[in-house]
Amino acid sequence: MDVRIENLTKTFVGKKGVETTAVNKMSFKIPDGKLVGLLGPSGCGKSTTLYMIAGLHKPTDGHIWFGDEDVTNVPPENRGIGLVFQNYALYPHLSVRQNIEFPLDNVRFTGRCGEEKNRLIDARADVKTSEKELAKATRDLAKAEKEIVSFEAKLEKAKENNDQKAIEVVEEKLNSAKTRKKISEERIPSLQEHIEYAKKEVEKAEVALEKKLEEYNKKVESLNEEKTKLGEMLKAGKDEKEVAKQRELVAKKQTEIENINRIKLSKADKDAIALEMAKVVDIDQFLDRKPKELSGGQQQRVAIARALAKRPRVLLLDEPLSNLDARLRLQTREEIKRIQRETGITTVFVTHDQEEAMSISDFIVVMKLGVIQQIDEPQKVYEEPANLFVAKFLGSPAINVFDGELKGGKLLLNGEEIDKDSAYKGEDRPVKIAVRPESFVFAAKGGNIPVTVTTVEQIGRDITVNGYVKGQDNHIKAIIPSELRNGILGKAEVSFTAKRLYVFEETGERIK
Amino acid sequence: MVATENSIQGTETVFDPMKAKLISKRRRVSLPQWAVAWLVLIPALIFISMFMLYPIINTFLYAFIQNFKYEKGAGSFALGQFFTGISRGKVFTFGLSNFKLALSNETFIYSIGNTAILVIVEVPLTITVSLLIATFLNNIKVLKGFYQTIFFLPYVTNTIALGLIFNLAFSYSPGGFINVFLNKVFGVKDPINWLQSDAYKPGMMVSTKFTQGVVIVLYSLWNGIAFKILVFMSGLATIDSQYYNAAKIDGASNFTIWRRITLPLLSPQILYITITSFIGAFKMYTGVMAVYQGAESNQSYYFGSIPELPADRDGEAWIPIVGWIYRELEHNYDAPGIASAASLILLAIIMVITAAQFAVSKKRVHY
Repeated sequence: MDVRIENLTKTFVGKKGVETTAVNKMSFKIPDGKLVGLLGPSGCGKSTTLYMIAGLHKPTDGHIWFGDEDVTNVPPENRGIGLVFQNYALYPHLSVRQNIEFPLDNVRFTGRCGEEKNRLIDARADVKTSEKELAKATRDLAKAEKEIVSFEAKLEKAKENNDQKAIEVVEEKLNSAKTRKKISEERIPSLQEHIEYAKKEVEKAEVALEKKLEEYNKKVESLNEEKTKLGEMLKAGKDEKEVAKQRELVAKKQTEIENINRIKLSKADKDAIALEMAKVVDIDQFLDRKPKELSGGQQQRVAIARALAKRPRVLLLDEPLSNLDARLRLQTREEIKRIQRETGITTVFVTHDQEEAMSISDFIVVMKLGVIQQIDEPQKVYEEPANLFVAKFLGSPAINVFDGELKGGKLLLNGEEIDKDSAYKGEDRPVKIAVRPESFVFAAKGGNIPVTVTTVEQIGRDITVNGYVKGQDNHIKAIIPSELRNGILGKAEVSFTAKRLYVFEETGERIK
Repeated sequence: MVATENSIQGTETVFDPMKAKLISKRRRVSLPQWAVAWLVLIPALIFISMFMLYPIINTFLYAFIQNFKYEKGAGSFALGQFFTGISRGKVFTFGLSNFKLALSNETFIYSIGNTAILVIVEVPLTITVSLLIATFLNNIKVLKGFYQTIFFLPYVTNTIALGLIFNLAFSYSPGGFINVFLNKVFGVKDPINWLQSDAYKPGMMVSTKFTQGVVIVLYSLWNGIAFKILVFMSGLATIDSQYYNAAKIDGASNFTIWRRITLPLLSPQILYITITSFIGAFKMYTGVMAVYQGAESNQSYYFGSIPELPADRDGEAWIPIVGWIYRELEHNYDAPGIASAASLILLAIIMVITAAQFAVSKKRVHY
C-alpha cells in the first residue's frame, strides 16, 4: 500500500489567536513496502505529520491517500493503520496476549458487501464534511474581509492621531486578518474541487456496491442450485462417489458464503494470530505476563505486535528507540528492520537521531520547521545534501563549515583557492564551504587548509584532530586514519586538503 | 555537619570538619527519638481512646455481661460499673444471652430487613449514577466548571436541612412540587402520597412502604453522589489519554473504550467507593430520619408508618438497624446490653460483607 501526501498543512491556533504552522504544504510519496524515516530536529513537525497520517490530528489542508483511497476525512479506527506510540501505551490491566488481541476484538469483518457499503458511507461523509468546510471557509473569508475593512479604518485614524503604539497594534491585527483572508481564499477553490471529486467518488461507490451485491446474489443462487441438485441426486439414488463430490461442492460454496458474511473472529482464531505476531517479534514466551513485568525493549516489541495484529496497511512508529538504553537501541533497530522486511508492510517512523534513520531506512525525509528539506536514500542524503541544514544535520561528528567566497569563478578560503578542479559560475559572493571530518586529507606539505591544533584524540582506528582555521570562527574536527599519526602528533600546526567539499550559498542552498 | 539525635528544644553538638574540634552550642534537654514520637502522638491518642477506644470496650463489655443494669453512682464507664457492682455484691456472668435476646426481637429482625433492602437498592444505584456523571463531566468541554459546581452542591448541604427539603418536596399537600412535576410533565392525575401516613381525604392513595422507600433512596442518592463523583473524577484524570488514542487506533468504539479501558483502570477507585458505601449504608440513620422529620408524630425517632404495622410499632416502617439500637437504648435506658449486642451484630454483618468484597476484588481490581 503506498502512501501519498499532498499539500499537507497543519496550523495550530494558540490562546491569543497566535497561529503556529507545524506542517507547511508537505507533499511526498512513500512506495509500497518501504521503510521511511521522518528525520528532523525537535519542533520540525515530524510527529504532527505522523499523527495526521494516523488520523489523530485533522489536517488544516491537504490530502492523504492510502493507495487510491482518500483517507483525509476517515477516522483513525477505519484507516487500517497500526501505530506504536513513543511510550508504548500498552494497556496495563491486560496481559500481553490480551493486549495483542485487543485490536482483533474490534475487528469487524465487513460481512456481505460490507466493504463497499463502508466505502459508500465514507464517500458520502466526505462530501458532507467538505461541504461543511467550504461553508466555514466562506464564512471565515467574509469575516476576515470585514475585519480588514475595520482595521484599515482604525489604522487611518491611528495615523491621523500619530499614535505609534496603536499603529503597531492595528497593523499587526491587519496583517493577521490579511493572512487569514489569503488562507481562506486559497482553500475555497481547492475545497470546491474536492467536493466535485468526492461526489464522483460517491457515484463510483454506489455502482461498485450494486455490482458486489449482484455478485453475492449470484453466488447464493448457485449455492441453492447445487443444493437442489444434491437433493435430486439423493432422491434418484445416484452413485456414492458422485453424491460425495456434490456434497463437497455444496459445502465449499456454503463456507464461501459464510466467510463472506462473517462478522467476528473466533477465540481460537484470535489466539492463533496473537501467537503468530508474538513469534514475529520474538515475545511468545511472555504471552501471559502483564506489561509492567516486562523490560522496556520487550514492552516495545509487544507494542509492535499489537500494531501488526490487524495486518495494517501502514505501520507507523513514533520515536521507537528514544525510550531505550544505548545497547538496546542498536538491537531493536535491527529488529525493526527485520520485522519490516519479513512482513513487507509500508512503514513510516519518526526520529531525531540521524544515525538511527540512516541505518535502517530505505528513504529519509529530512524536515525542518514543517518543510521538507530533502527526500532520498540515506547515503545520497549524506553524500549529496540539498542544503546546508541537511549537511549539518547528518553525519557525526558534524560537518565543518567555513566562510569563504567566490571570486572570478574560483573558490577561495581565507584568500587561498582551495578547489582548483571545479569551475564555479555566477557572480562574486560570499559562500559557505563545508567539509566532512573524514574528507580531510593530511598533506605533509602543500595543503591549502592550515589548521592550528588544539587537541588530538586517538581512538584506536582514527585520530580526531580538533583545531581551528585562522580567520574562521568555528572549531573544526578532522578524522585522519591513525597510520598517519606520526606526522600529526606533537605538531602545533598541520595542513590539510579537502578530498571533498560542499559549497552553499549564504542562504543555504547547494551550489553544484 | 553531623546531626545528632533528635532534640526538641535543640541541642546541637556540631562537628566542624574544618576546625576539627567539637564546637558545642547551647546545651539543652535532648530527648531520644522514640520519646519525641510519643510526645507528638499523645494528643491524638488521647482523643482516639476517649471517643473510639473507650466506647468500643464499653460496648463489648455490656454486650457480653448478662442481665446488666446500671448501678447508681458508678458512672458510665463499664469497668467502673463492673467493679462497683462487684463491690456491692452483684455477681456478673458472661454469656451470649444479650445476643439471643436481640436476635429474637421481632423489630430488630425487621430492621435488618429494612436496612438490607435500602443498602441493596441504594448503593449500586448511587455508584452507577456517580460513575456516569463523572464520565460525563470528564468528557464535556463547555461549561465544565458550571456542571461541576452543580453536582458538588449536595456535599456542602446539611443532612437534616436536605431532609427537610425532601420532605417538603414530596409532600402530599398542594405545594409539594414533585407531585406538581409529575402532573404537569408526565400527566399523572392524582397526587401520590409519598410520606404522610394518615388519609385525610377519602379515596386518596395512602403512602406505602414502597413510596416511602423511594423517597429515602432518592434522598440518599442525592446526598451520596457528590463525594463519589469527586473520587471518580480524580481517578479518571489519572488515566493517561494515550490509552484512549491507542484504543482508537485499535478500532474500539467509544463504548468499548469505556467498558474495557476506562472502567478497569478506574477499578481501584470503584473498589474504594463500593466498600465505603456499603459500610456507610449499613450504618444509615440520619438519612432515614431526616426524610420523615416534621411528620405527624410525637415520637422522637420516627421512621414512618404504614397500615401493615401493628399499632404499638407505629412509626417504624423503615426503621434501620442503628435506629433500632437508639430506640432500644431509649426504652431500656438502664440496660444497655441488648443494644450493645445489636451493634456487635451489625459489626459482624459489615465485616462479612467487606471481606466478601475484598475477596472478589482480588481478581477484578487492577492497580
